[in-house]
Amino acid sequence: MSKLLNKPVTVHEVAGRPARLCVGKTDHRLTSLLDHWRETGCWWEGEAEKEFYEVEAGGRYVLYREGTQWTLHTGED
Amino acid sequence: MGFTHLHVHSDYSFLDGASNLDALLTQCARLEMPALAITDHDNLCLAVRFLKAAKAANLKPILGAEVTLTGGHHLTLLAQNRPGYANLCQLLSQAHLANERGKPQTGKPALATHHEGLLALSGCWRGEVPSLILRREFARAKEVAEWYRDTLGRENYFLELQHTYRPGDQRLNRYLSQLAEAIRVGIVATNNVHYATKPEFKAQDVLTCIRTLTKLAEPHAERKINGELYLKSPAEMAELFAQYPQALTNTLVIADRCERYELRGEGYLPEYPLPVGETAAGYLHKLTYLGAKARYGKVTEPLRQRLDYELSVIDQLGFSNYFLVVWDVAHFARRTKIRYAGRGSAADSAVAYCLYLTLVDAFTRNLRFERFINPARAHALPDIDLDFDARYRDNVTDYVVEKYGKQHVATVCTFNCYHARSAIRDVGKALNFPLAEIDRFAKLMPWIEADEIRAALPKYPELRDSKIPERKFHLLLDLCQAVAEHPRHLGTHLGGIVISRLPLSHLSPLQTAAKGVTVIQFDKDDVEELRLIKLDLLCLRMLSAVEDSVKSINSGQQSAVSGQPSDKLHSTICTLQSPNPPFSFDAIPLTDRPTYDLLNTGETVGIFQLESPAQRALQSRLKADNIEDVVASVALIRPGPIQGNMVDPFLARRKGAEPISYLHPELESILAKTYGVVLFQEQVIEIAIKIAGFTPGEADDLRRVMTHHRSHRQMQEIGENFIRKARARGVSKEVADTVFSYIQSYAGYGFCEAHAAAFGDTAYKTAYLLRHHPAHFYAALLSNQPMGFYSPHTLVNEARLHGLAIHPPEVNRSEKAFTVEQRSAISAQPSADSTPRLSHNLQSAICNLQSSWAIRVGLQQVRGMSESVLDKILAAREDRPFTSLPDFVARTRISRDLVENLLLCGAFDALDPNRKKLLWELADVQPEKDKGEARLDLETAPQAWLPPLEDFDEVQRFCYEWDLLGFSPHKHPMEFCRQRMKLLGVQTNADLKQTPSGKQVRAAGVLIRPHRPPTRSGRTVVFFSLEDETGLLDVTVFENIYQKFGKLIFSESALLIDGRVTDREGSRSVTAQKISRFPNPTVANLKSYLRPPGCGQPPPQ
Repeated sequence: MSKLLNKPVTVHEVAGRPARLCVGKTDHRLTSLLDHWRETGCWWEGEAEKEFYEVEAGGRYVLYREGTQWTLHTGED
Repeated sequence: MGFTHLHVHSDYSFLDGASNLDALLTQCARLEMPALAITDHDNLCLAVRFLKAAKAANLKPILGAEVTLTGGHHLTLLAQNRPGYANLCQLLSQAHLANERGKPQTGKPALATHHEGLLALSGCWRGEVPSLILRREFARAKEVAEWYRDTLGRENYFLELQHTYRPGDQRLNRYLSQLAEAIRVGIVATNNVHYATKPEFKAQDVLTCIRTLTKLAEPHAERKINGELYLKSPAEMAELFAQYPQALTNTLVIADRCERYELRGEGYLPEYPLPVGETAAGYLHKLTYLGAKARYGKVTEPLRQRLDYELSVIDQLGFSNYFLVVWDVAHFARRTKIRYAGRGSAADSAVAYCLYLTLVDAFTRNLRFERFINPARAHALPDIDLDFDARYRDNVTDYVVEKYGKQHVATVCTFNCYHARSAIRDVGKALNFPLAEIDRFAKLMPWIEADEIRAALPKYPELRDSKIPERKFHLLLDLCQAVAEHPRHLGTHLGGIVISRLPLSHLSPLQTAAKGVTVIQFDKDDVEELRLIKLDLLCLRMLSAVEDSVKSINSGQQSAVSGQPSDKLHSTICTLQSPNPPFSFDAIPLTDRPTYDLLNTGETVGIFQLESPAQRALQSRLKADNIEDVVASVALIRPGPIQGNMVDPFLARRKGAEPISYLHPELESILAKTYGVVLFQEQVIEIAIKIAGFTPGEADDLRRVMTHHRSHRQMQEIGENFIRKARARGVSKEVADTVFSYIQSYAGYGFCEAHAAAFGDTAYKTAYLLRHHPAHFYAALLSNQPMGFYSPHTLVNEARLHGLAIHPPEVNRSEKAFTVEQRSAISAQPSADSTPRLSHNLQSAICNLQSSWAIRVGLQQVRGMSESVLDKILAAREDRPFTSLPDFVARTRISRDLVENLLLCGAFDALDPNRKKLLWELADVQPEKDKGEARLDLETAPQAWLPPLEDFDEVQRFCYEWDLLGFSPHKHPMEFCRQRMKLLGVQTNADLKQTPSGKQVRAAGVLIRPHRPPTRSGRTVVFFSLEDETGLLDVTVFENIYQKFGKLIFSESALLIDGRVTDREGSRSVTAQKISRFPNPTVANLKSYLRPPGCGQPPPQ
């Protein structure tokens, strides 16, 4: 079951897309890019655009990038 | 790989698209795209401008629409060719006309009937097929897609793929692609474009919030989650659809299949149904000469030459039918006794005069026909505007619809766009600002564009102190700028209707406007571009007031009813002798000395076109003594002549204070009537003809070019052409240069003499009414509000100053409208102050004559009254007068709120002058609010058990009257504080007008119409009037004082002014040096009056 995490995560990119991510102490290679979308969020409060990825990498995760910072948005227990 | 955007929303997808046409085309050009489709929601409003602009930009335009289907799904339709466009128009017309206004729906049967020439794309996520796939109803999605394929044709239906970075986009595209392969239809890539560039997504988001009544901080299903719906480049689209190259290629295939076509066509010009054996030109000739004989008696040779010339031009340009159509409309009005008057440049035509379209004798005034119809501009249709008595204009429109058919007549639309005030209100709500603060700020805003607000803030002191947090305030201004000039909604043109021989639904979708009329989706500029025949059938309330005045004067009674021509008159008072012969407005002599004397006093409140402060000041200085002076004054008080410094030279030369000289002998005959000053557009034409040898057509072209904004280089070119031609006729360079400078300084403004003459005629004649029949005229003006420059309370005050009494509304004596009565024999209550408060400038003879007259306030003036309620009251009263409040309640059964309003404004005073007592009585007689039910036991007099009640005091009574009527029939608010004003050194306005120029004075009064017109210097000058019981005083506030005290001017209802008296040739005003709040709360709080506590409460048990 997926739960809200919202914590920073280290992601290795290839051509601007996530290729590997470190969850806990484990480094996972992406096996599948399930979906990719963008959200502008609360732009009127100064919030920046976020780029979301739903991936399979040893589990199903949703992560987003805001600028250069990656955040793990939701993941499986 | 190339790409064409085929699903694009402009800002004419109201409150959804965020970019205008220019922005979209500019971006297209930047991206080197050769074609573009515009597919706004259920409309083709941009079609005409899009075709024109695309041609200029060398871009292929594709017209289309995103239609809403029954059930709410979307479908993108593109008009492949002209028949396809006509089918699209018919689909949208049916969608709008067959459904609730604002909720068009296209049914599938209609699509099956009208699909020829249309290409269909399956739409965005709200498309029927995509939405079924998203619900995982794959079988149903296939079924639906096959229906479209089979109905529209395999080659005409495409499944639409979009990749706008929404969750699920890619999955959906996979399914759509597979489905397309399965049913063998094409796929096409689009980006559901809503704006030209990415940063504009903020404006689009705000517009969506406005449309859905959502705050920015609130989610809503229609809000887009990102800013990806912009006009992406071919490279960006190629990257997004790398897996579907065919989807990209098909955009080019579709663009190629769509043809270029025009919307214009001759088939739209209407044909007047001619008598047997007649041609349009022949019949027009016949009617013109019949009219000429009636107008002139004898048709002289010069008149014949003029008429034949005009008729030949009309015939050559193919306008005979148009003239017959307009003649027929005017003839209907004359037959049915609906008062009307032609305006505008049509009054330059002698034929129009003979056809009784206008009241201006163009032949005798020697007006230039070319100003109206320019033979050199054969493509431009003539424009004849007719003003009608406002009450019956719709009767005229109905006649036109009945004569030519519903399919062939429609009203022109308007596009109501965001300006500063509307942007602040809508964006402010979306940003969740306090409503009261937004309302206050919006009301203070001058009439500027939404993107000028920021620049206006330091300029207008009343805009400072917004009480809105600064960060949010900046966001508000940024977003107002972003939505500036975007169309907010489609409205109805005031009077423009198009008449077409072919059904209009082949040319434009038709829809129902808020006013209930059928409109086309094109505005007046589009209509002109398409060469459609447009008639302007306008409402003019002054004509209603004139009509009522004439009826009242001729009635032979002292009541006049404002209503249908067939209404019978109700008379309750003594009869006066009818005028013999009957009074005729049209037969008013133009040489009445007393009328000019009145004009010259500047006491011209109520007179058509001549009542504004600037006009009143001008009349005092001008001292008109003939109709030409009045015509000139109509043209002089306009931004152009004021900014061009024409007013003072005109006045000085007229008085002989400045010499008039003519650089060239030919100029004398042209400019003599305006004392050497270029005042009229026709004079520019004459000068070009006589000095530079232009043909009349070329001269009108010059006039047109010069009256539109031109660059310095363009004006230079125009000048060089003029001077070259003048010199070729032997005019010296010096003279030619100077003459051109006269007309160059005229450029950018200018009034048509014919229009000024038409308005001047009505202005003079209403002045005649005011001078000789003030009671009837003021009663008529008050009955036909809102109209004119001033509120009813100013008209009432002016009526009192003319020696007229104002009788309050009374349930047994008032009609719906204001009526005229003998002053002495009417009210049971003490009459109003019997000494007229006269302006010192009025002749006492007038006052003595008029002091026996009174105006009875009509019941329609009472707040909350509706036509049906008024009918009930008058119908009940027809049997017998009302004898008491309970009797009234029982017999009329109107709501308690309205009864309260009536009694609190004094309508029951004649039955019982104690209004507080009546209020208590009402609570017993009619306990339930908003119900017309009276108590059953009316036999028991409720007042029997009431203790003696002291009535409201004078101030309270006044406040109720002001609140419920907009004025008090008995007193001016300033009278309450006159003693206090004296102690403060404030003089009455009448006294101030006698004070020598230069003297330091103090003035006070109710604030009337503060405004900031454009000035010659470009600096801000504010003008307003102060009103007290002795009349109006005009005040000027220059920029330095405005910056200090401006906040008060636009927020208070009364002011105290310290300043200096100025006199300009008899026109007195005060130049303000200090402005203060008004010290008396009754007057200061007029705008925000609240009822005293205890009103409307049930009586104690």
